[in-house]
Amino acid sequence: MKLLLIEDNLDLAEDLAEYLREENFVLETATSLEQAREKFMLYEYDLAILDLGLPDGDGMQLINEMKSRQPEIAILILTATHSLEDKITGLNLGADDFLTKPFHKAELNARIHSVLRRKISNGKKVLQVHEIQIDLQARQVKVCNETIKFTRKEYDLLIYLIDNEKRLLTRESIAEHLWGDYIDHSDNFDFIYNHIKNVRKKLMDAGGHDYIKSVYGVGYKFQRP
Amino acid sequence: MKHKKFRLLSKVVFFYLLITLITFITSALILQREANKHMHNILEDRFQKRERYIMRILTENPEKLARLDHTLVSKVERIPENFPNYQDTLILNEETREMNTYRKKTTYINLNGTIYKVETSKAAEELYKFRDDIRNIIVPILAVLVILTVLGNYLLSGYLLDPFRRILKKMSQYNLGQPTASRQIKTSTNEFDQLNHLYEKMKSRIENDYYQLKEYTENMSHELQTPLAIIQNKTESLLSENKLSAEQIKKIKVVNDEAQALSRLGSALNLITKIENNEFQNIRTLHTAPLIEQHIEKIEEIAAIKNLKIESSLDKNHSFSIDPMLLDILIRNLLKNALRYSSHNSVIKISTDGELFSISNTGEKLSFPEEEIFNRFKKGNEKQSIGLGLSIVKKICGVSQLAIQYRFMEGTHRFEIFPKKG
Repeated sequence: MKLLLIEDNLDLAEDLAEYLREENFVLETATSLEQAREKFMLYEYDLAILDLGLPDGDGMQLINEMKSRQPEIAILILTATHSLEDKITGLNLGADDFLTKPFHKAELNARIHSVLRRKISNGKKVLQVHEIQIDLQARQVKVCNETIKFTRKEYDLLIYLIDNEKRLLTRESIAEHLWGDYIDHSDNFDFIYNHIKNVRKKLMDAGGHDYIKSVYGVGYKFQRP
Repeated sequence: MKHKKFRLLSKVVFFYLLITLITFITSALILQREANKHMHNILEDRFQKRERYIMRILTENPEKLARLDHTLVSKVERIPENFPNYQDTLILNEETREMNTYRKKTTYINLNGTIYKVETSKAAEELYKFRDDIRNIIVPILAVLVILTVLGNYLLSGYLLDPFRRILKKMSQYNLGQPTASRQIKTSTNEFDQLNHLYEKMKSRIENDYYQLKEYTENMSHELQTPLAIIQNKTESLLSENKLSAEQIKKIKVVNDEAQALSRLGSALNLITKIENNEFQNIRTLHTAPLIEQHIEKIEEIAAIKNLKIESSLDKNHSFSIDPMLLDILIRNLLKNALRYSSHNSVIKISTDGELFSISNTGEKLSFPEEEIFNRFKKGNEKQSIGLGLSIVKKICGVSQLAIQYRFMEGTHRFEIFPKKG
């Protein structure tokens, strides 16, 4: 998968690039509208991550240009503003998703995966991870060919864990992913433990491995034992 | 004690009239005295002429005395102590049948040892009329003057004090940090011009200070975001590494948490700045019920975890005139606040009725005075929130012409929001 990251802050761009390359994405970066134009004129991308506040103009205008040049490109907007208007305009112009800074990298990663899955599934909307098979359209999980009932939150949690396989997910990031900013960062996160426990139990009861490793005091990690 | 306030011009007119009145009364008294003196002198002159004539008659041919008008001469034994004396009498005028004022002088003449009492009367009518005329002129003039002054005050105050009123209006409409069309106030009155000038100078000085301070906070919170994001990202990557000990992970987690807290603080402050800068201008009439229901749906699970029940009674027609983003933040922050401070196993009540929106939850009494609840960084005990949620709510209400009230009664915290009147 080839990604174009358009972000004017070099430090932030480099940091995100490093992270996303670890996710096995091929990634190029642009720090201005001009650079971004050059890149998508020459190369094809599956997804562009676009920061709206660029030094030489509003990133919004780039959406149309990219879409007309590469109609299949997926676009994920990053913004620092609490603006509903920006969000609506961006999505109307053809952006696929929208993320407000500051965000967890795991969240960005999950969104990228989700957008790409929606875009380029070629009809087969199935996610296969070892013995776990997830029908993304029906939101159905099968382990060792056995269908297991997951609640909505459990399903979302499982997808989030799988999208960030092998990475440590902090409890805060999980809570935010599942409940948005209603989660208080001062709350204790026992309720996440309950969800994790249920997911782990359901996977194992159906004959799956114990994929979810807990890191004491910090969070959880999805990896093959 | 509150003193009654008067308009400046009314006061000026009051004192002006008071001085005029004193001047008039004094001059009237002086004029009256002068008139009396003048009258007396004229009459005395006439009396003396008559007395000299009587003396001449008495020595030359006394029988002529009887033919003298208004004169009575009689012999007396001796001269009383106080003479001459004067007396005003009314005498009927046969011709006009009117009572006319005469002055009667009683005096005594000693003519070769014989004492005569002489009573002479002279017409004083015209002289009195002259004196009355003075009063009749002065009183109407005073009255006309009073009427003209009061009327003039009434008419002039509009014209003279208009610049002053415009300056006052400008001052009262001024809102720090909100650009207002600064209308130039032109006046030919020196004092008002000075006042206006000083006001403008003071305003620009305050504005300058204010914007500098604001720019500083804005820059601070904005410039901090990127380094904080990098700290967060780097610590997150560190946390993902497999080689670290549990102890190391814990420490990195603390750094990560603190960076996150700072980052949240920064974006909350940014939001406040944006609200203050009126960057949310997409004001329209929004029905609140669908949005509140959406939010309730989002928090139901979290509430259930805390054993909280959410009860809502929503009026479908309830609406606020507000930017949609701000309404969203407003409801979110109030709900978050209720979630955070509710006691376990209690009920959060949300209701809209008529123009009123209210949300209440049971909980402990505030550890600080009630009126400080909307202040920045005021928060309940032992809770690690950043303490900006309610001050954001207050700011949103402020820019959206909404009033917000907080009350704590019988263990229940209650917030009420309704449109400001007028």
